[in-house]
Amino acid sequence: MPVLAAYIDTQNVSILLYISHEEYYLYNFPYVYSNDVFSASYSESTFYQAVFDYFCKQHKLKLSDCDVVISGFLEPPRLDFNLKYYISLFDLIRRVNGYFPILVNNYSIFTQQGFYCWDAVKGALSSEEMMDSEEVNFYSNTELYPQLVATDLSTQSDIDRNILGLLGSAHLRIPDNQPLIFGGSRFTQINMVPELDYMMILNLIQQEGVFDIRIDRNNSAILFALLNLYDSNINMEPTPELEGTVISTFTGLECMVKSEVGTSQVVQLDKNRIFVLPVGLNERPAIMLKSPNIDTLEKRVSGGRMGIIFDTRENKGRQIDDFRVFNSGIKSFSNALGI
Amino acid sequence: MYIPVISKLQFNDNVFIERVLPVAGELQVEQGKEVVPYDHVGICMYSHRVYKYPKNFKPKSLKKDGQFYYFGVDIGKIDSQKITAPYNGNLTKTPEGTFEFREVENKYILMSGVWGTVEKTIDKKSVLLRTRTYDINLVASTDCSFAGELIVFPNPSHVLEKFYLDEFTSGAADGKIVYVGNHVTTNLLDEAIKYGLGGIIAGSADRQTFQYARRNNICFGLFSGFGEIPTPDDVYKVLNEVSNRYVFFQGERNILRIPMPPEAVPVKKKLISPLKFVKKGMNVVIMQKPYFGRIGVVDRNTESSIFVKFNSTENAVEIKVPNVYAIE
Repeated sequence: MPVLAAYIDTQNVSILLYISHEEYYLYNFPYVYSNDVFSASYSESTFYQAVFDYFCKQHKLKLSDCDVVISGFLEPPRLDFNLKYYISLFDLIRRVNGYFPILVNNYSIFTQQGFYCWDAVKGALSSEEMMDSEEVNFYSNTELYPQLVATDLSTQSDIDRNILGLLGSAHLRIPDNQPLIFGGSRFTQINMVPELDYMMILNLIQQEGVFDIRIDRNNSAILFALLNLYDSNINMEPTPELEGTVISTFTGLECMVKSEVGTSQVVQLDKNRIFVLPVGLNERPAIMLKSPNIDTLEKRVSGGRMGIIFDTRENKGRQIDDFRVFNSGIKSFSNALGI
Repeated sequence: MYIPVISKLQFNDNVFIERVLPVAGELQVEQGKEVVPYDHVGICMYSHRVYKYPKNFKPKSLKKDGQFYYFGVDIGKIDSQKITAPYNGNLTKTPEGTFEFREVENKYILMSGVWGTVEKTIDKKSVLLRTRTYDINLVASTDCSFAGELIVFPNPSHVLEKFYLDEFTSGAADGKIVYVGNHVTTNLLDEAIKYGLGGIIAGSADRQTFQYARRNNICFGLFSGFGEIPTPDDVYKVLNEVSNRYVFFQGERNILRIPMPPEAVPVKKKLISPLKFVKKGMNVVIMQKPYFGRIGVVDRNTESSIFVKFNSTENAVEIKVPNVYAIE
């Protein structure tokens, strides 16, 4: 029987329609139910039933033909149609294997090792001196209309700054022996300024090292974990987009990058720089990295949509206050994305 | 592409509304009786106002508990401050040892407030009425309920708000729910609270103003959201048509409920589906600066954007999905 697995985040819904190992479909629906806006017209169950129905119909299926399994942030909503299985995100994130998931939305940063959360509106109001009334109103409107996305760099930067503020003085502990996958509404909802996705990734990697990074545009890691948990015979692997490799240091660095066909180039960077070296999706160049705090490191790394991103900023984990560094980072990402 | 539908107005032709006396009294209708809004459905004797004094209040020449005082007569002191009776009433001692001044009981008449039928009467206290209503969605509202006469300001400029407040609420303001326009400021809200209005509704307000309403426990509702966002035209049109009608503010349910007469023909029916396919000519409400809250018509769409026209002569503007809803 086909399975419809859904993960309902704070801003959008990710859906996996599994028919067989060979035939499955991943979707994002960029809206979620808002009690304030919709409750006078229809219930949460009616809304999600219509959303799931819509995706089933695209494959000539009825929702009643599928086993429906859901998870949500942090708990799935209680829906009054026939659900086969539901599970909280707390329980589900631990079941993601082979990758280190970092789920980010406007209200939280969630990994297998930590959960950092903030009520944006209450937080905003308790520190009104930090925000102008327009910003407070924006956050308040996102409470009513949760799917809203910022359409300009400045607003999205402010949102990202607030997300990073969730960490306070804490530092994310991130392993360097597993690919990092970045998911959650911050990365799955449509973003008008995609360069800021990479800036956010750099700010979330707050330690030195070499990291394989992927952006999970459909929350596939969560959805496949949900599917595998529901039916252990299925055992599917997620398919996040390969973005490349982040080389993160707190000081200047020198790195030789040698391609598989034997060409090589040396990257030398001072402290507090961001630089992107385009490396194709299917390429796996070898690097030799020298930096004062890291023993000379030789390894093969992944290319990807972005390539190799060098980040030598001394202070990571917060939105960049130095506009020169910020602008050069944005420009590097724009060039790599061909924007 | 499918997007969710917002329906600001819902017509319900089978709604139950309970009208309740503040204390047990006499019900003046029977099951099955047809009523109109100004019909009396119940009556009781009720003390409308109670003033509670702090612990340091010392009564003056109190001979018995529950002693009667006329308005303006000295009743005691708080420290060195002389306290007079705020209205005709009785001074009583509470079990906690403090004092309260209770207005003399007056006749309280409970009106039906709706066109409908008495479905049930309950214990000399309440009447359940079956009626037809328009429900207008309030996207943000304080958690309180109030029923009263609706006063509609004509979407005034800030300069005229105070004038309208004086003009429209002269006399008894305490039984009124006032629509003050596209936007309400904290200053105007403060004035409205001083006037003792029962409820304030508007298109939008700053978050700070909303919090102020919440702190002051006033019934306060917004049709569009936070910031400077206009009230949708069709909502304003309905409000304007029902000015002076008895309406029900139900904050916990995010609705303003407007009773409709039996002959009223519904303009809006119940929604069929929460999602709607985007196509040319469809009405949408924009949630993106600088058009936030404006309603337009779809001109065309791409995979991630909808191009919207606000009138036939202007060029279409690009709105990113999901910053848009279909509107019915």
